[in-house]
Amino acid sequence: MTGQARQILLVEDDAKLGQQVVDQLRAAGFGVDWIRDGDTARDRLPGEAHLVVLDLMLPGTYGLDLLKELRRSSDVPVLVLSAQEDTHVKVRALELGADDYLTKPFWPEELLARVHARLRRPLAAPDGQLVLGELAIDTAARRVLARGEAIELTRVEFDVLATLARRPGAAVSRIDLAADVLDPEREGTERTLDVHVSRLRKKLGPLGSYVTTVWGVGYRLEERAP
Amino acid sequence: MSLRKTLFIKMVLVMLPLVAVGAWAGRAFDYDARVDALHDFVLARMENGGREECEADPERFPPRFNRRPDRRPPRLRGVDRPLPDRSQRPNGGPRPAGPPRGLPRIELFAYDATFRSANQHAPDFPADLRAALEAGATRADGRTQEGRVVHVAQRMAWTDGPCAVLCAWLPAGDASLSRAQLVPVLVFAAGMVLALWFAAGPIVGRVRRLTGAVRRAADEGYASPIPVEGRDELAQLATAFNDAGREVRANLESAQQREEALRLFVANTMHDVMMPLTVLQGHLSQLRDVADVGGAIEEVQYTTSLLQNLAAVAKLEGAGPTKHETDVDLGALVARVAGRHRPLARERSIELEFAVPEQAVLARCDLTLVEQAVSNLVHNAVRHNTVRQRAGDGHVAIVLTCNESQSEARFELEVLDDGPGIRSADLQHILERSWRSDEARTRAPDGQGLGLHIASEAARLHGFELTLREREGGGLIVRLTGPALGRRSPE
Repeated sequence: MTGQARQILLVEDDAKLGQQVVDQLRAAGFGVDWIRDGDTARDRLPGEAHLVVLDLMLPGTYGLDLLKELRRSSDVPVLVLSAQEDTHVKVRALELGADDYLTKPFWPEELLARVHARLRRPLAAPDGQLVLGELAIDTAARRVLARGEAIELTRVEFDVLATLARRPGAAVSRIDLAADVLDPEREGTERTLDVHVSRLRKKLGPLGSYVTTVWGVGYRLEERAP
Repeated sequence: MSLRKTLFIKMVLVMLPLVAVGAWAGRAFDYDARVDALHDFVLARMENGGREECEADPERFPPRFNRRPDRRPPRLRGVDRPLPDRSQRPNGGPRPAGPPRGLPRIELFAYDATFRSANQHAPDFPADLRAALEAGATRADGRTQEGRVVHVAQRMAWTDGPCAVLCAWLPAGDASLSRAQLVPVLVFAAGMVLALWFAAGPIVGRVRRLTGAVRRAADEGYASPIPVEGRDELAQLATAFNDAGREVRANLESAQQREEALRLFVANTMHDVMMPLTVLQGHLSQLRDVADVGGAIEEVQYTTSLLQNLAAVAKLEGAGPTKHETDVDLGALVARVAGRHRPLARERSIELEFAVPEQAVLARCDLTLVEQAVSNLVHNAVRHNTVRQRAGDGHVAIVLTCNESQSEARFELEVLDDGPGIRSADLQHILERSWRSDEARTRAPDGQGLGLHIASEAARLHGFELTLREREGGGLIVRLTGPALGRRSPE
């Protein structure tokens, strides 16, 4: 994150919950603007917010109507808070352009994870450069730099790294990884994958710890201290 | 049996006695007609020169018809059939040639006041007629013993001489004569039945239309009345149906209103309960850094899960499961479920991970029900992973993949854990248990409980497949599969 705090607009009528969410978001380093009713929110949306956290059951204008109006003029990410409402309410929210929803009750870290996920900037530079910590991957030239040093990778090793790097921090299942990088006729299947990953880790040297094994799932690329 | 056939059979059953009565009445009329005709014949014969003829030659009276070819044989009104049985001639006398076929044959003989005839061919005076005349009657009639010949006796105005009483015989309507009367009756009856067969057509048609209208009305929940044709009994039946339909509709609406009120109450209560639970979770989360609140976090998570399962049961057990199907992004669903259980997993030192394909995997389903189903699977996996929890290195993983073949795409959602697993003997029937059973509600450490059954029911409702199997190396793999709409690039 840059030093500038990202602004979040919270629309929530419940005083206790609202205060709690404000505290949680501020503690996580976000700037928070809290609006307690639908009508005020209608006048002030979208404002300067980078993300809107929107409760639906509001006094004044209903949350979904706010969302509908907001989507006419803005693409700001909207995270809807829903209190176990009917499926059609959630579905309608997504149809109207909500990016995500969170069902009450939720844990604060759940909220923060969703907010971070929505505000995460894409790592890929326009020219196909992926940068993760001390690792730089040029997908166009198929080159990898670990701490500035070029590393020779086989085609499969590079594809494994590039596939994981497209979604840093997210676990990728062995099935999906194998399907993406292996030619089943020439390079075998999932079991062969482990061998390729093992070799990739070695070649990355200290940065090999960036590639982690996820139990029961597959692999993940994340920035870690070597 | 169709209405038309029933009517036909009933008509036949009604017509049979009518035909019998008709035939009997025909016979009776026939007899009376013959008797009257015979009396008329005798009187006319005697008044038009018959007396003189008789008294002049009583031994040969009456001269035979055939000896007077210039005279037409007598003909009786209403009797114009040939007399078929010639052996039944009552006087038994020789008859070289009778009247032409097609005409009745009358035998006439004269008797004196003591009922004796001068004609040797004359039969004895019938005893029944004689009794009647002696009792003072001037005329009498009856049947011969065989019952096939009508005879009448007529006392003349004069009381002396050999021709004081005349007796005439005429064959009565015999069996064939009855058939003759039966035929028109039978034809009439058959005509009636046929007429009924065709006349029933429009009525049967109306009954059929009415049946169709009632069925359609039932299909539409008696929303609209059925059309009423005419003012007869069928119209009254249609009106009665409409009345009954209104009653059913009113009851339905009342039940729907009650159900809707209950649904609203549950939704509002759910909302009211979830708000403080959210605040409570926030407080617990803050306390985590300064106190051991692991037990409290678990209880809150359990309570939340119970409440959400109650809502799911209400959906699954309502008056017909209320399923609101849309194209659901299963990857986002898995991420939400994982996020919801991370705090509990962390409290239990269980690593909870998930992987979903880069492209969205969409499936047609009810978002809330399927999310609750997956949530239950994950909650169970985290909650029951007690062995590893103690060791501090338990794992739970959610893996979503999509298998696309040329013909179809299927999603596979697996929840894996390295917990104690379920004995293979229990694997089969664990899904069969009803959630209403005590066993399902038991909060025993190893009981998979309500959650699994809701997952199972939700899967069944969507036509998904839920299977459990032991994991190699210990633990359990629960797999939910179903048709996917294919992978789609995120927008």
